[in-house]
Formats: sequence, C-alpha cells, structure tokens
Amino acid sequence: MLRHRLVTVLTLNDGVLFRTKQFHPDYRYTVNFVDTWSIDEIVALDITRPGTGDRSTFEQTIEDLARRCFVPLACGGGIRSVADVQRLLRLGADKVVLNTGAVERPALIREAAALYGAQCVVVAIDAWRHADGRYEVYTHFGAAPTGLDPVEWAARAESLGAGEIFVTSIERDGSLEGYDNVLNRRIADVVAVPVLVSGGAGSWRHFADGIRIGGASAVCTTNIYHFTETSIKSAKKYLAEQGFPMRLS
Amino acid sequence: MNVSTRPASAPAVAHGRTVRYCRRCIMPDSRPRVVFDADGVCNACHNADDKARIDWAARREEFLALVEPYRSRRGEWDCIVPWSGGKDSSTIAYRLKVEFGLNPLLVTFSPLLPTDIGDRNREALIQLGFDHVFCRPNQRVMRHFARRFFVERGNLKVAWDAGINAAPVRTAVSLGIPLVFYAEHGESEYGGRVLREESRRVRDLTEVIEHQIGDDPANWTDDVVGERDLNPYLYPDAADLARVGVKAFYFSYFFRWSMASNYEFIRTKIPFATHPAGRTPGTFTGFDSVDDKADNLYYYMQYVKFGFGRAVRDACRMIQNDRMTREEALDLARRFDGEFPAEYLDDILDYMHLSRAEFDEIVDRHRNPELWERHGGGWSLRFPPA
Amino acid sequence: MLVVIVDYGLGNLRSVAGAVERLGHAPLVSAAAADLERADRLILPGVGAFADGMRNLADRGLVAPLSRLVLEERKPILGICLGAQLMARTSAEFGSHDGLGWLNARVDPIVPSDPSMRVPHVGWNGLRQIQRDRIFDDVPEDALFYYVHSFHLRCVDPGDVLAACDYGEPLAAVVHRDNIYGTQFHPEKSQRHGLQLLGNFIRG
Repeated sequence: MLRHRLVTVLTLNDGVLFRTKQFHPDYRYTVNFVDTWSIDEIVALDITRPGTGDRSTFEQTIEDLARRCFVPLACGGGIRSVADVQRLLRLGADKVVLNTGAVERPALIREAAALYGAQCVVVAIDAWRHADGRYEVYTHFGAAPTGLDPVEWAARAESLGAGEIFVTSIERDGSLEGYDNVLNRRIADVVAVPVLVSGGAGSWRHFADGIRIGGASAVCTTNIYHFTETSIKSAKKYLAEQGFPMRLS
Repeated sequence: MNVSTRPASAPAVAHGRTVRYCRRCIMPDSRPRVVFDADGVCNACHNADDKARIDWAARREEFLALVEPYRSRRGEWDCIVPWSGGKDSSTIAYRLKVEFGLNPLLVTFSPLLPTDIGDRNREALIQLGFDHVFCRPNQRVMRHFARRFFVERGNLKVAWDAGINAAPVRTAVSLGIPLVFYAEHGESEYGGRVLREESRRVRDLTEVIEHQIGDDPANWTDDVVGERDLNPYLYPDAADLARVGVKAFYFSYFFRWSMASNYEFIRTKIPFATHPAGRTPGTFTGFDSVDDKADNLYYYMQYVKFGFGRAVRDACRMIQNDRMTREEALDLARRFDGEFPAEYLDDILDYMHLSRAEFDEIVDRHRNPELWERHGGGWSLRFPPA
Repeated sequence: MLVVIVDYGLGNLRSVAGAVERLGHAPLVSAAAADLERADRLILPGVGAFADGMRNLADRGLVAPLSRLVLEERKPILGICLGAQLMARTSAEFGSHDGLGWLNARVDPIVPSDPSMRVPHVGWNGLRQIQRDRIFDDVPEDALFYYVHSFHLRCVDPGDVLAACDYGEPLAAVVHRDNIYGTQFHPEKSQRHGLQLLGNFIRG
C-alpha cells in the first residue's frame, strides 16, 4: 500500500539555505543539517530574485545533494524552457518543478512532459487568500498577481501533463499555524494526480491535518528545524500512530 | 495584517553570500529577519528613531487605563512578570510595584546553569519585598535538550526559550492572573520582521515560536523524551487562555525602552552585581545577561552562525540609545566580538555530556561557509564589521 | 566487475551511476557497442515515455546489439522503470508501440479500482516477494521502494513476476526471466534496500 510522503523543501537564496516568511528569506541555515536518510523526498527550489545573485551555487548544491541522497530529488526555480529542464535533470534532479514559467507559457508543461514523462513534471502553484475568501495564483516568488484561480489552473496544468501538483499557501509560509487545508482540499478534489501541500507546517498535527483534511498525498515542510533526522523520525512516528501509512526507517 | 492584495515589496537588501552592515549601527544583514532599507539602515535603528516621535505621555495614560481594571482589590496578585533578576525584568518588577502600586508575582524559569551573580541579584530584589515562583524543570530532560539542540541547531537554549515563554503564562492560567508584562519586543528592538503592528504591544505567541523557538515544542519527543516530559515547554492551550483572559504585553510599548537606562535605574534600587572582571567575555558590558553560565556559549554560537556576537549586539543598542558612536562601536566589536567562551566552558560541556573534541566539531558544523573562511589554524569572518 | 549503464539519452544516468559507485563499483555510462560487449552487467535505466525510449534506442543503433547480447549471449541486464517496460512486447502509452520483446509482457496504463487512488503511482510502496530469488537477499519483507509511474508491466506468464506491489490491484514490481531482471521502482532512489537489491543484481 502506498505510503504518504513527508517531504523536505529546501529554499535556497543565492546558494544559501533560508527559511522564509511569506516567501521572504529571513533565517539562514546550513545544508549540513539536512538529513537525507530518513526523509522520503527532497524538493530544492532556487528562490534567488533575478539580479541578486547567480545560479551556479544552486546547481552545485543540486549536484551535491544528488550525489549523496538516494531519495528522489525535485528541483525548480526559474525554469523557463525545456533546456532549463534538461540542465537540471543532467545535474541529478529526478523531477523538475515548474511555477512562473508554466503560468507564462503553459505549453512548457506539455513540452517537458512529452520529453521526460509526466512523472518528471511537478507544477507548483503559489496561492494567496484574499480577505473575501477568494484565492489567486501569484508568480515571481509570490509578488505578481495573475488573476488565475488556483483550482482552475491546477486542473489545466494536469491536463497539460503535470504529474504532480505542489500547492503553497503564501500567507501561511513560515507561519507555523498549519496548512491552508481549504485551498489544499479544493485542489486535491479537482485533480487525479498526487498533490503535495506546503506552507505553514509547525506541529506534527498539521501534517496529519494536511493529509486528512487537505487531501494531500505528500506533506511538505520548509521549516529547517524539521530537517534533522530526529525531527523526521518523530514526525513520521506521530503520523503512523495517527493511522497514516508511513515509511519508517 | 488586513490587506486584500498581497504586498509586492521585497526587502531592499537580498540576503545571500555577501554581508553588509547597517550604516548607522553595526548590525550585519546576516542577522535573521533584519531588514535594511534602501539607504542601508536597519529596522532596529528606525525603531530607535521612532521612539523619539512617540507620545510617551499618551502611552503612559494608555498603560494606566489598561491596568486599572486588573488592579488588585483584595490583595491578590494582579500581574505576572517573567523575571530573570536581570536589569530589564527587575526594572519592570520594581516600577510595577513601587511606581504603579500593582501587586506583581515574579516568575522565573531557571537558567540552565545559574550563576552566583544571577542568584544574588534575584535575592536582592526579593529582599525588597516581592513574591516569587521559581520553576526548574526536569534536569534529565533539560540537559538532553540542551545537548540535542546544541547539536542540531547550534543553540543550547532552545528548550529554555520555550520554557521562559511558557512558564509565566502557565502560571497565569493556573493562578488565574490574566495580566503578564514582558520586557521588550525583540523584533522591534533588535531588528526583525514586524508583520503586525499590534505585536509590538501584545505578545504574539506565534511570532515567538517562529522567531525564537523555531518550531512547536510538542514536536520534540524523541528516544529520550516522551509526551509527559514536555509540560514545562508547552504553552497552555487557547481555551484555557481565553477562560482566564490572559493578556501578555510588552513594557517597551508603554515606556520608552533603553537597556542602559534600565541598568542605571536598577542599581540605584538594589545592590546590582555585575561581572567581576568588569566585562563579560565577548563584550564590553558587564551587566547584561549575566545570570546563566550557558549565555557565553549561546552568544558565541550566534557569532558562529550569523557572524555577530555580544559585543556587536551591545554596541548596536548603545548606538541606538545615543551612548556610542559608530567608530567606537567598531573598535569594541573588533576587540571583543566572538571572544571564545572559555569561562564556564567545562561546566557547560559537562552539562551537555560533550567532550571538547565533540564540541569543536559541532561548532564548526554550524559555521556557514558564506560567512567564514579558513585562516591560519582557525577561522576568520569573510566580511568583518565595517 | 564492469557495470555498464546504457546511455540512450533518457534516464537519470547520474543517479544510477552514483548508486553503483556507492556499492563499490566503477560504472561506465556508455552507448558504444564495444563497451556493451565487454560489460559483465548491463543496466537499462529510463525515465520518460515508451515511444521516446524505443526511438532513442533505435536512433543510436542499440536495439540489435542489445538484443543479441541479452538474448543470445545471455548477459545479465537490469531494466529500471521505463527501462524494464521497454523489455516488453508492446505498450499502450500514447498509442500502441513495439518494445524490445525480451519479455512476454505488455505495458498497460495504471487504472486503480479505487478512484481515490491517484495516478501516477508516486511514492514509497512495498514489495510482495512471490518467488525466492537471490536479488532479494537481505531485503526484508517490509522493505519499501520508490515508485513513480503511470504505466505498468503485465506479464503473460505469472512465473515472470518475482514480486508485486499493491496499488488497488497487484502491480508487477520485479520481473525476471533467465538473465533479465526488471524493476518498476527505482532502486537508486530507494536508499538502503534499493542499494541492497541493486548490489545483489551486480554480485549475481
């Protein structure tokens, strides 16, 4: 029986691992403490704003991670073309994460899926909840409103070939208050592909809620304190005790 | 924050592999959550400027109006002060009782390794006439957490942070004392991201967890620690807080905050002991954070992880309080910042069951390569204070 | 022991190579006939679509040489994910396509009986060992492996299925005939147990 996944999401700004708050880098950390043995999967995202750093250190980090982790590695950040996809896969990524690039040119999803398979293509959707309860997709590190409804966009991305959808609630990012499971559930209900949820995980109970209430196949954390072996084991043990099938080392 | 459109602003300085220093104080942008404006001035300096523009008379009136309904009528305690015995919390305790006639209960969460100075300073204030609750948690667990988080996060006081956050409020709930007065709002005073204006006045637990503790203490079970060991670190739940009506405020919102002024104030009220050498290792002050032997290492790890230590921290506050020039600050930082915490190191290693070799290895694991480079047999900052 | 990883332009070659290195062997990533010839073990990786896989093999002139090495010389070969699927006779992915035909099997879409089960099948799932084989040495019954696929192998002869995983219906997880092995999961992405299994194949 398929297990639920607990996924570590690394957000790298100019090559430095950062915790973020509503997508702004705030607390720097070091990749030394990212455990790569008890985690189920790793997502590494380059969140360097254009013009504020160069991409080469991110690529080095990908290579290094790919070399020493024997779990799937999904990479994203600034992918705009199939050439970008190819470059990341060559560096060792197993999957690529498309976000702004896919919104700007949806055909990119189809092109990448056609070449590398849908299971290689993850479409990430960052959503902001307005005061009236309406959700909107934002691109460019949560700075640019698109007018798109995340649920509609998720369905469209799936039809174009996305193998998984990665949802992030922007205002919950770094909040430790739990996922936006209203948003998560709406997307999980409209697509048939696996959904990964992110943004707001603080306590282990939030992971359980993400699965049970949000409909997630995989729960993600960007909280650096959740990246250690002890934390990962503790979280998975908790989830298993709550009745969710998990991979326990 | 009540906005219906997502704010599009990003900080003027993008954090990354270079380090810049505030043009007014000397805080580096490697400090977590600090924000520099387009002129390269940090938000702690702006906060200090704002203090001059605040109508403190009005804030005092606000304070008086706030406390009036809570004021003790039949002799019961009417407020709680999270209290270390240091200059800041003792100043608050003294003023609340003597100046404003309230009846505070002081609540201390034990330092990891209490110092004589800390014990004496606490005793001095208590002797003036204060009620005091001293919480000291299960030491088997505390020592385990000190070691665990020193290894995993380079911070041996993570659990202590959770404890000092929880203990006063748990006491508030248990004894039915709704009003709690904390000292200063760290994010405002020292440079951080203030997302809600209200959190300068009312303590926002989520902010504390996010910024100080880092994650939910309920997560901390492991091979050694079980659920029943976590009580001292867990905040009371929302229902209990609502039932008692607990409200925690920052004294710094109502009264202009200056750690130097607090020190000057409290030493006129009690014999206030300071570091016998005249200054604490790693800085030029001898009166700040002297109650825990673990603090030397705590601040040293801050230096290792973020590139600034006690001297820079104290110097920035002095600049913001108009007690020092930037040039003087740079000089003191160069002389004292990052001084190795030799004092008490043996006690701390013993407390954490670590050998010196293990310690050295862990310290270096927490060095960010962006901040440090190998130099001779040691390390030097790539971007020293400038 | 020369392990050659077939480079036909698809597949996470670096990951597979990394895993082989981790096991103490120096892999050769190549499509050159001479290298395939002198290999002791062959690995056919694969990530992507079936038709592209076959076309890439054809474009590089690998179909005939590989078939000869595998079917006639009986060189041990491990197909991973798409690599395993390519060994089938036909596939229904994006139309009907012919495979290498080394296994009497076809590739069908995953259609879970339970609509709440999502496709692709992504994540950690188990391995029900149906037949004993040395490839399972020191791999415990409850070992988990990483799967990521939308299509699966349906073997005509159930004897070709060494292990299955449960996803609604049983899906072939490890297939085997003579010198040919195929895994639907990615052993190079399945940590300890994946490495163990990969090592077992290499050791032989």
